[in-house]
Amino acid sequence: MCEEILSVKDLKTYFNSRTSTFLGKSPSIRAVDGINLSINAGESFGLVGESGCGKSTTGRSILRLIQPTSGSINFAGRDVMTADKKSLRTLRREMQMIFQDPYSSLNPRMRVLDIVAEPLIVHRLAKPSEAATKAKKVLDHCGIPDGSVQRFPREFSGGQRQRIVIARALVTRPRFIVADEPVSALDVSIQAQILNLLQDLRDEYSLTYLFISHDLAIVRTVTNRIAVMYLGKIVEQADTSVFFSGPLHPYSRALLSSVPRETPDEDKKRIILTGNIPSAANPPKGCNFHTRCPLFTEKCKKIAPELIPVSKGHSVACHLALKSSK
Amino acid sequence: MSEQEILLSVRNLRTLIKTANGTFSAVDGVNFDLEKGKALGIVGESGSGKTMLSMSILGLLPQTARISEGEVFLNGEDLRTLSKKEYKKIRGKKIGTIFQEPLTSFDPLYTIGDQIAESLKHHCGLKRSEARIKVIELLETVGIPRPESVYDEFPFQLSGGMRQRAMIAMALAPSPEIIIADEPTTALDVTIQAQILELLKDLQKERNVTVLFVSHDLGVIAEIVDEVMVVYGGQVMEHTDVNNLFYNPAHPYTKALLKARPTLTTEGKRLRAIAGQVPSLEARPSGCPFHPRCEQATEKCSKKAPPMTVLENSIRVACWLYCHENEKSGEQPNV
Repeated sequence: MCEEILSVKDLKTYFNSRTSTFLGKSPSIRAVDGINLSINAGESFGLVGESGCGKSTTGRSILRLIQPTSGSINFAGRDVMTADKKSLRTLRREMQMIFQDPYSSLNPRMRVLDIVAEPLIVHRLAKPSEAATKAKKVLDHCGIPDGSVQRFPREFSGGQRQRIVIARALVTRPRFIVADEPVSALDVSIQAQILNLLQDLRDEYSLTYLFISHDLAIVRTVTNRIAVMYLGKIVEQADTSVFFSGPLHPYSRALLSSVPRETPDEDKKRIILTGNIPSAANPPKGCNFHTRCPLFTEKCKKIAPELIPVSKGHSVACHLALKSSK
Repeated sequence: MSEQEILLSVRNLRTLIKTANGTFSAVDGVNFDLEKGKALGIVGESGSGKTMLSMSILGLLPQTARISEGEVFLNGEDLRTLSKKEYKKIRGKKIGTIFQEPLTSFDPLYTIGDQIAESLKHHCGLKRSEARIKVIELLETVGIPRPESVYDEFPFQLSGGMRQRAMIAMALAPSPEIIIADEPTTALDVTIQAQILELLKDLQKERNVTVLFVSHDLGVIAEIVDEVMVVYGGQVMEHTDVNNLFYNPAHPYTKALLKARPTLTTEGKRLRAIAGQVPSLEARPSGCPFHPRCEQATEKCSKKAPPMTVLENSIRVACWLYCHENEKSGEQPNV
């Protein structure tokens, strides 16, 4: 169908925990533990999971803002994993990031226009004189009027700041954007504005998104494919519409059923998971999820399931889901 | 066991905050009654004054804020006439509180059990050994596994969900008449949030406690409350029962808010965003606080705040669309 723009194979990012134990080396934290992703140009790909599942680390590892431990990352035919500093800089022109917190991701001492023009100068895409005009144009697209570009970030509200963050990411004309929880710091009425803006910009600038979020309702609204992560691994991947009409992994089902109902009398069968998310430093043996899974069997305790396709574009990592779907 | 006993009653409450740029009203003339055994949700976006409202009721306002007028009655007792010491007693015994951030709400240097036991010893006069038994019982009620050993653990040793359970146990300890929960599940993951909401619902049914539930999340509100008060710019926009909120919203703000939220059924659709910004405390518009963003605003809306009108299905709404001055309006204008 479409041309593949990003291909991630067996990506692993481990962190060494700083505290050492008496008995020598402490175990490393497996934030991302063998992930495969393939994203097509023009897609909006959602990565969902609870806090600590490794979704943000995945996003950052793909841009190599965090150095991955192993695996391969291929962006538009170029190898990101082994790129040196210089080629990484050219790559980053095309791969940008939108962060969650618009309060801490803008330099408080710079004027908005300078914040947005800076990437153009850093990447030598425009002379300082032209940079301002180009930056103004992008800011205007993102809903920041010409009259307020000389102001400082503190003079803007959260929603407007997020518009500035988006403008800064767009100004180098990237093809791929990692949006890490771009609206979770915003109020409901402002969230909708920003989500609509992101959708408009996707068409206008022909962008591809990796959209990271913990909020299933938002992911449903803005993505066309989705992967669910649990403890550093993808447990299920499907087209968004397929996923929401029938998730197969027990964790996906529980996650979906945990979303508060939309209206008070919505009939909702809730799967309440017991227990907490295990530590990524010491993940359970076998299937990561078996400690909380309502359906686990002996096999789940011993053998970790692989992500296996069950139908076109729909894969699940569960010993039981395979049986039940057949 | 009378049916319509009013437990909490707030009359024309106004709370002022002093900032570097002057004094502003964070809570601007709020009226409501809460019946015994009912759960009332207060919904609003950040800066709407929902937390200041609950803090005003609790008497826990920061130093820069004060209540300038109005009354708060709990069981007929005017809380505003109490001394600090008396207020503290009421807060411990009759009002239980659950806050958003369970880690910062516990003292890190005392064990979970001792902190819960303290209120029992202080307010209910239990002995140390009696308190321990009662606390372990409570920890069990809120679904904490191995309550005997958790009693002697410190807050940092528990996960977020477990800490929130412990906080609920603490709020329940002196068998309060009302529980004020301020965004109790906001810091939690959805699967843990579902656990905590389920627990709160069960407790509410079993113990028949009255709950004041503050949240920004309409979905969470739909789960747990009987009636809802929508606040915006420090004022009550609409006060309605939970079914009417979702199926028959009256105020333009409530309607817009319901349309703006993404849901599990809005795939690929454009969201109906509300234009403009949430007004900051220092730049609240004159008249109705929502008028600059309201699609149905008229000139009148920018000049005068609408009075609270009672509609036939006992929905209270503050909007000129429903208020025709020559007709009788149900309540005192709230300006």
